[in-house]
Amino acid sequence: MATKTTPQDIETTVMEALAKFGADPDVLTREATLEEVDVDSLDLVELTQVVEDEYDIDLENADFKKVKTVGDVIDLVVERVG
Amino acid sequence: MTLRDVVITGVGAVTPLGVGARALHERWTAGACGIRDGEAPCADFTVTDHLTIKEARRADRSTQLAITAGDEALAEAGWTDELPYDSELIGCVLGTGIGGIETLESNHDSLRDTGPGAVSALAVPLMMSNAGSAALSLRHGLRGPVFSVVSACAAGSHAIGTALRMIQHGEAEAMVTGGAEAPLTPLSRAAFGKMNALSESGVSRPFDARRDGFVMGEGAGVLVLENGDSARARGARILGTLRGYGSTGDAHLITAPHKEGRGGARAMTIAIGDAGLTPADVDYINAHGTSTQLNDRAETLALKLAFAQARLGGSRGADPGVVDQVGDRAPARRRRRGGGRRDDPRVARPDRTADDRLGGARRGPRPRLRARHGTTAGDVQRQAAGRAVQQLRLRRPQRHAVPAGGVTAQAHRRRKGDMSERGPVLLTGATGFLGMEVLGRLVEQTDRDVIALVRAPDDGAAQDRLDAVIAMLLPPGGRPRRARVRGLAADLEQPDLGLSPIARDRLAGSIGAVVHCSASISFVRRQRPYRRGARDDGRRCVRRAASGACAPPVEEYFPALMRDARWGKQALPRWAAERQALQHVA
Repeated sequence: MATKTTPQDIETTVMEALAKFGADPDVLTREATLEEVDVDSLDLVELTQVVEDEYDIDLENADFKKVKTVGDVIDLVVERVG
Repeated sequence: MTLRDVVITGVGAVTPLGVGARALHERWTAGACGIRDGEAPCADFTVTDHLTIKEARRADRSTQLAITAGDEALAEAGWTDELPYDSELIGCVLGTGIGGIETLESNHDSLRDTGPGAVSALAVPLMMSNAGSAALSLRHGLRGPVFSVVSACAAGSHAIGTALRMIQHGEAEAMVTGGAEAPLTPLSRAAFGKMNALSESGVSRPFDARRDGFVMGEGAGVLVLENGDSARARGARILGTLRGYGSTGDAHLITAPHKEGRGGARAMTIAIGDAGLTPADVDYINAHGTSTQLNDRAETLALKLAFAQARLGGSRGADPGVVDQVGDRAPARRRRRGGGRRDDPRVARPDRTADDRLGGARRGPRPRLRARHGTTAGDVQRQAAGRAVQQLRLRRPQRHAVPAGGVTAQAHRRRKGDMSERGPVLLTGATGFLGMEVLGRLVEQTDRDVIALVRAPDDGAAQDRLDAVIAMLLPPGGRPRRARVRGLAADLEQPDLGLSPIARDRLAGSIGAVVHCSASISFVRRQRPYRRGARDDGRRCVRRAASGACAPPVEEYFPALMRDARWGKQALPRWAAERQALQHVA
């Protein structure tokens, strides 16, 4: 990565992607569960594609097993980007 | 085993004529045309009006159309709040020719341009041919048999037939069925273009001698079918009964039907027998009519094969009263909506040119089907126009001395054998079905000037409308001819054609002939007295206006509504005129 990626950048990327997938922007917060914002496994697969392209990381389906909230997703990506 | 009867309780459609089965029916019977620039997209369809962002992202366009048509059909059946039967007894079978080709193409673009990582994780569920039936199953919780059938242009009909059998045999209590296609993509265009199947003129005219291929379109049609007893028991509104089904294969070419139409005829014969009917019982045929040379020719023969039998058997009721060529998407729906109504579009019968080529002397006696139904609206139009122009040309001019000094235009015209000294031809209905043909012939085959009455705000607008017609009628470079045609803003329904007394007198004093091709006919009010009145009013009106203050210059009169032996007492249908005019002028 040519420029430094901040956790805030990653949060913005994830939030924008989920909104684009059709999640309701009004309830889309870090605390919201994936169920509440209607994000399912197919959305997570698509999200994986977005963040892999953006940050040059590898994510597996298994990585999402413990993910419950939008914040968990963001933290997972932040952790991988390191 | 007694088969259960199957009824239609809901219909839905998204078509180039609008969103909704009602929009389709109303605009279609009004003669509207969904073709724009040589293609027929569902231009009124905005996906976010019907689906959430997520739903739209999870569906190829073909599936989006199917979902929207399905919503309408289920709503009409009264299924919106709750399914009327155990969800495991309700299935969905849709038909498609290609499936999600838009998804396939866009993902292939990504693969080629960026690499495998760029291919969408949703590519497979979106592009698979059964995506439509799967989407309807998911959306409405249908847990019976759910799959799609793939058989090119016949897919929608095959799906309906398959659903019929499932209910008849007790595999399902109800089925959601129909077809969807959204192939307006670069690859499909190129592929169909390579087959020489697409119309170069961009006009779809099935069974017409001038047909030159089909016009690509998109759309979806969905029906709700139910076990008749169950539907009646729950008090459902029964829209129609699906009585029979037949399906055959030609084992011929992959790109063409068998030239004698035997496979098609056999399918129709099987379906009629399956329904427990005879050809004589059939009032309405929803033909495939692709507007390609190969299909329409074979289909004409197939229709004759399937229906001529009954005619030869002496049954008077054996006419396949209405042949519709719009497509195969939802024949049952059309039968339900259109069949038996006074206003349903009486569409092209097998056209005479094709008929002559196929069923002429070389083939022995023509099937009797032709006696009343072997002619198209276009055919009547051409014959009528030919007669009208011929009559004008037969009136030879009085001899005039040719001035010394060379061949004058007058003499030149005389050599060509038409009359022109007597003033221009006053033409009504020039932008209409018959009038256009007459105008073309007047310009091409005679040297007469033409004044065309056109309903328009002013003469300039009238001229614009005429120019549009002439541009379509004449090959490029027809400017000198075009200059002989002058548009005059007028309204036949107004006294003196809506002209000022001075303009009226000037017109009446100058014209040499009147060719009256217009009629004010309401498509909705088809009662015979109204039609006769409208025609005669137009006739009187033109006579009166044309005669004006001087001697009647009316040389020719040609009524717009022709009586033709083959049409019985029926006049040339207005819808045909409107449809043709729309296709050509719009």
